[in-house]
Amino acid sequence: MAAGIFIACVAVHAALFYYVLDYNLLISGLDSLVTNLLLALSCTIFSTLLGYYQPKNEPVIFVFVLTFILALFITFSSKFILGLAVPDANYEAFLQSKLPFRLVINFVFLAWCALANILWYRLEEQSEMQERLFTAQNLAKEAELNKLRHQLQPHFLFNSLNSVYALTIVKPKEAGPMITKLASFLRGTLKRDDDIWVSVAEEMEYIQLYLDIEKVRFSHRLSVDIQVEEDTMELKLPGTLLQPIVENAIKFGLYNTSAAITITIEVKVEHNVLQVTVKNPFDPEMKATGGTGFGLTAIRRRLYLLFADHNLLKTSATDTNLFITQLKIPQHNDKNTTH
Amino acid sequence: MIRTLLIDDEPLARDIVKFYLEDYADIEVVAECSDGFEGLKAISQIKPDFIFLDIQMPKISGFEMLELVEQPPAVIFTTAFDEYAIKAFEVNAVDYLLKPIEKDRFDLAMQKLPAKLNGGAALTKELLDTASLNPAHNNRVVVKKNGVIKILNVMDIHYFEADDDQVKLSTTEGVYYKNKTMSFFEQSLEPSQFIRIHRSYIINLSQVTRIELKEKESYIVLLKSDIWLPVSKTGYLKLKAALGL
Repeated sequence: MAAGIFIACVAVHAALFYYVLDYNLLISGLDSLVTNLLLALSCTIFSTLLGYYQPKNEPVIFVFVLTFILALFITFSSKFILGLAVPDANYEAFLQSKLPFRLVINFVFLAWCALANILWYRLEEQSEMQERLFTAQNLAKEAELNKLRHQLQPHFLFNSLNSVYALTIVKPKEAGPMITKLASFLRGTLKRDDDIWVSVAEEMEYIQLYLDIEKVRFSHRLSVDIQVEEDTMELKLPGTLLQPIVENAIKFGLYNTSAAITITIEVKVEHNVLQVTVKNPFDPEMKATGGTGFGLTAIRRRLYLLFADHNLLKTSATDTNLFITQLKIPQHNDKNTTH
Repeated sequence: MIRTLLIDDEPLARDIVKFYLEDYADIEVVAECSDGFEGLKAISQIKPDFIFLDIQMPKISGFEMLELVEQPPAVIFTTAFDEYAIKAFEVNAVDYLLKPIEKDRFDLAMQKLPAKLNGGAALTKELLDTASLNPAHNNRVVVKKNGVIKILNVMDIHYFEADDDQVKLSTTEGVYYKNKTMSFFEQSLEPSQFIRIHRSYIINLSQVTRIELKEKESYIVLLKSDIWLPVSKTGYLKLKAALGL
């Protein structure tokens, strides 16, 4: 493309000199070649320069000055080179007399080249920005969808529905309470958001519903031991953290073993920090194959986003194969109700 | 009498199937199992004519259990929600029941049962191959050796070797065999970690200690376990790319 334009310029320029101004082939060719080569060189310099740096303020003045300097340089250097190359008095006089005219032509040509470059870079920048925006939007949408899907917990939901259905046939009296529990739990799930803080009392009620449903599903296998200290009831915590931790305890404690298990939840307050401890047994053999172990990475990340502190979630495993998850939520006395 | 086995970790889910089966006088529920280990034992001892099998269960999934059964009985799958399993069923036209299970749908599956029983195990290897592509499970391989079931983390496997119609898995604790194909493992394993260096070998990249030129255009690789394995021409290119050479 660039080479094509260059050849065309050289040809037109040479033809003009040869046919219109009546110079011989050598002079026409040389004049055309030298002038156009210098112009092409300047255009390349310009293009490279603008690719790296474009002044944000007063770009017109910057381009104007630069174009003028380059045009001056081309005009005088071409005159010098051609004067040396062609020892023809007539031609030399022509070079001298037409100097201002050449300057103008060179200037116009370079200015056009600079503008085209600026325009091109601007367009490219714009399309790049649009692409970035598009990708960002897509990512946000995907994250939103994943969040919704996670909130719904389809596996839990459909299995619970199956249990309710079975209850209507084998133990019809228990079906009603199970349905209302499931409904309350789902309502609680839909309400939850990272920005909404709930009281410990409210959160424990929600957790209790979840565990009650799991107890119906797994009957004798699941026991729950919940100890909430009285003075924590009015404390607050983000409504999206505890349920996934309990869910995780269920996943590794209950889903991954076929034995009867107990899940322990303790809530207390120490130095104005709410402390929630969840304990679940685990199968050491399963842990080894579970990759990173217990899937708390997402929760840890959310905690960091909320509090900018990496030490709010601690996990440990005992020799007796008990997995302990400890969650700390700093309390703000001055603004206890909102955050 | 047709003998069947219920394998599901939720008692109520088994109850509903038992309740539906009351309409079928010729079918007898011979046992109930609440996980794949129990299921495996019961299948080999009782040899039922067909089984009801849940997918998501403690320890090993329904599919992983089936992979370990030498002569699998006919299967009616039951599942609540599992995108990968359902995709596998659809691809392989296997009968499955979605929970909560509808009575009409259950009866339909039972109508098709005689054909299934006569045709032997309609269960295909392809079903298990598609089903096992579930990314939640491709970081492990469930194997059986001397009657003991073991769940291997793929990172503990040094290399995979083609051995007749089986694949031999070499680990620090010895070798295990799995009824799968080399191309199955090549597809399901993490491609940046496991490289098919040869028609007969897939290696765990973290086991590589040295690559040497054996003769013209033919390489060999040394693993941490002091084993030399041949590398084919295309295998060498893959290995080089994976190591960033």
